[in-house]
Amino acid sequence: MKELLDWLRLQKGALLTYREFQRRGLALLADHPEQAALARLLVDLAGRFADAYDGEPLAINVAEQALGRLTEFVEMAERTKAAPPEERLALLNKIGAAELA
Amino acid sequence: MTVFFPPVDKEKIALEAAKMLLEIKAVHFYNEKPFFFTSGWASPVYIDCRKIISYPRLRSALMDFAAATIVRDIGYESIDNVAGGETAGIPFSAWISDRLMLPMQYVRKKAKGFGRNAQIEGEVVVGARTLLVEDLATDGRSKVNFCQALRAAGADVTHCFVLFYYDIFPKSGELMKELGVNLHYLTTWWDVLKVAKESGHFSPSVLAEVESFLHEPAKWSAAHGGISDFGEEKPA
Repeated sequence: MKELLDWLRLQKGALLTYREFQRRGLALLADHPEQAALARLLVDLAGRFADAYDGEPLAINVAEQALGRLTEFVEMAERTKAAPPEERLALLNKIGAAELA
Repeated sequence: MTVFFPPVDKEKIALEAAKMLLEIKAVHFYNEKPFFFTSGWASPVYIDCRKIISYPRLRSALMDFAAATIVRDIGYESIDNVAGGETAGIPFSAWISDRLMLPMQYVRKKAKGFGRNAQIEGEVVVGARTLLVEDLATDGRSKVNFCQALRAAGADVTHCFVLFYYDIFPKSGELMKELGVNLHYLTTWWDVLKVAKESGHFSPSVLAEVESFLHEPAKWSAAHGGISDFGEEKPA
């Protein structure tokens, strides 16, 4: 998750960022089954955003906001890695109910 | 049915197609609210070729231009199939394949199911000389996925046709060359700018901003939060 976060912090937030995020998230899911639910939810979240703007002009302010939210979720995921189960479950529910725009 | 595509001058087609796009307001200039293209370029201009499908007279004229351009640049008997890229390329490939009396397929962005044809709908004949059709080309990156899918299914893809080509981004020509694809198009931003200036579409200040973007898209993009080169990330 730390590697994914470091990479995400270097991105500018165009649609290609979300497609690559999905690819990296799926690799994380395969390599770290203990984080599979979290990775799946993050991949889906990024994918819904990318699908919504596929072929559409993505306003820079919307892109910045979405990238900020996604980065925040990945930061939370990294922070709660060793947190109690109820805290981790709360984060899963939060990401599960979120949209990036 | 008689099919005949009289040779039409390339520049005449380019200016007429640009005029049509301006007429149906498919051209958008957002100088105060820039946006990102898929690959990360920031831009003040956007073109919505999908609007064309709602104007039957105009679209029919554009499809005649498309057929004339294809037979002029590629040949009358040098293509076996026309393949549309999902989604915007599909209606145009249908009309073009109809004009040229050729079979059609379409290519999905993502594979559905398994196997070598999982991304293609329609019959693929191995070795068929296939023309990829899309609505537009910005920096050309979206063509890579479609070409790879068609080639994986056995098609021979060396030509791509789009209605509109941005013709401004650095390395887009190199990318198409690396991909082994010749790009054919009706019109570009330079033609739209020329027609817009002559016809009085948009204010002089908007056109000046657009012109500054068109001349130095990488610089404009970087100044507005976008990339200035392919694959660029934020500075660490």
